[in-house]
Amino acid sequence: MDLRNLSDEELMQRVQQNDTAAYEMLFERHRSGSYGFLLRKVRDRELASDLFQETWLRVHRGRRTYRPGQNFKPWLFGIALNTARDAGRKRSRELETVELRVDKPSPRSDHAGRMTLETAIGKLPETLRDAFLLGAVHGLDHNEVAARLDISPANARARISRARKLLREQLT
Amino acid sequence: MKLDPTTAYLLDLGPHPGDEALRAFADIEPPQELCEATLAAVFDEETIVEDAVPEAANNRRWYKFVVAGLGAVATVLLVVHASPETGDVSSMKARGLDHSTPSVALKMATRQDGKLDRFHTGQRYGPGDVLYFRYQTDGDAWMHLVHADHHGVQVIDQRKVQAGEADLSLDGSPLAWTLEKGDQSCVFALITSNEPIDPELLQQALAGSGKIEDADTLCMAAARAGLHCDGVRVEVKR
Repeated sequence: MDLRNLSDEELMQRVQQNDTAAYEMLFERHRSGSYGFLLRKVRDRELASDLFQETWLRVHRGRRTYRPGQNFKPWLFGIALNTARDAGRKRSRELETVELRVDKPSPRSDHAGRMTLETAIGKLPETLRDAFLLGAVHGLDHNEVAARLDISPANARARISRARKLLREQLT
Repeated sequence: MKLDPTTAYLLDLGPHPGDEALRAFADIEPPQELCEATLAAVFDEETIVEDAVPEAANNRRWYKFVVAGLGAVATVLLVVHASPETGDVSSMKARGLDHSTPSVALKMATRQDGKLDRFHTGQRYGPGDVLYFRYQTDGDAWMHLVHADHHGVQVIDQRKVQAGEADLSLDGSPLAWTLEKGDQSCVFALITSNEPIDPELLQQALAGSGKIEDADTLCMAAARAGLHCDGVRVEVKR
């Protein structure tokens, strides 16, 4: 069986059976997304690395709490979010935007614009930033964002909308 | 300022730039050494712990203690009586909630400054203090050890047990919960069922009960699900 043909949810069911190859495939698929989320959320590379490792440890430890059929990505991001919350360390350090994007420059992008966007995201209030990252950047729907943040779907939508408005005010 | 297509989309000022472009922004590749360390940590943990701990029992605060006098633990636990503040299962039955699962009693002991003692209801415990658990049940059952505090409910151990009384142990050593700095007062409860229960479903059933850091409330929630429960509140020093 070629694991590359399996969905995240199918892989996760294999992880529940202690299939380490399936876990590695999930890690391969989602390591960049989860790291990007955590780095933008906490804006500290060292802390993000700690949280990244703890998140993936929790995915493995908590594999039996995963319900078959449950969308994997929102479940993963919920773990990442809770891990960051548990860390309980509030950081207000300015995002190192240049370093952030140097890792993965996009040839199709306006690099200067991206750096400005990173800075602007970093300046969002934490509640809005979380909603924006989950919903706009990582593509979770409003219900999934709401579930992760323990708020109503309408509130999730409002937070994302407000985050976009604040970003537009800074960038346009 | 001229915005690139991805930024324009994220600001709701342009069309979707395509999944690849959006992902190119959303994803940030973690350092290779971090990836390797993470996978190594996961699989190391699996090797050390997973095979020995049943179901959802993985928790970094479980330690196996090689207690020189295992018998001492058992002796102390034998004289510990069920806490008077625990869920009164019999009264729940009297109110019409029928239980088909074996009854259960939770008994606890502590180790403070190296000294083994019975658990005292109402006494405040602090970082470094160790809690031990013993069960008594009148039938073969699935036994779920639950921890609840203001953060939520967590199933921390599940196992099949036979009727009787015994320590909750792992590889011959008592399971132990070490209180850590920052811990809050909490409840430990033992719940019995005839069949294995998905930990998350059990947690959801208990978490909806309101003030879960109260042993009676937690056990009432279990009783409503037709499960026997006995819980003890542990007061933790601030």
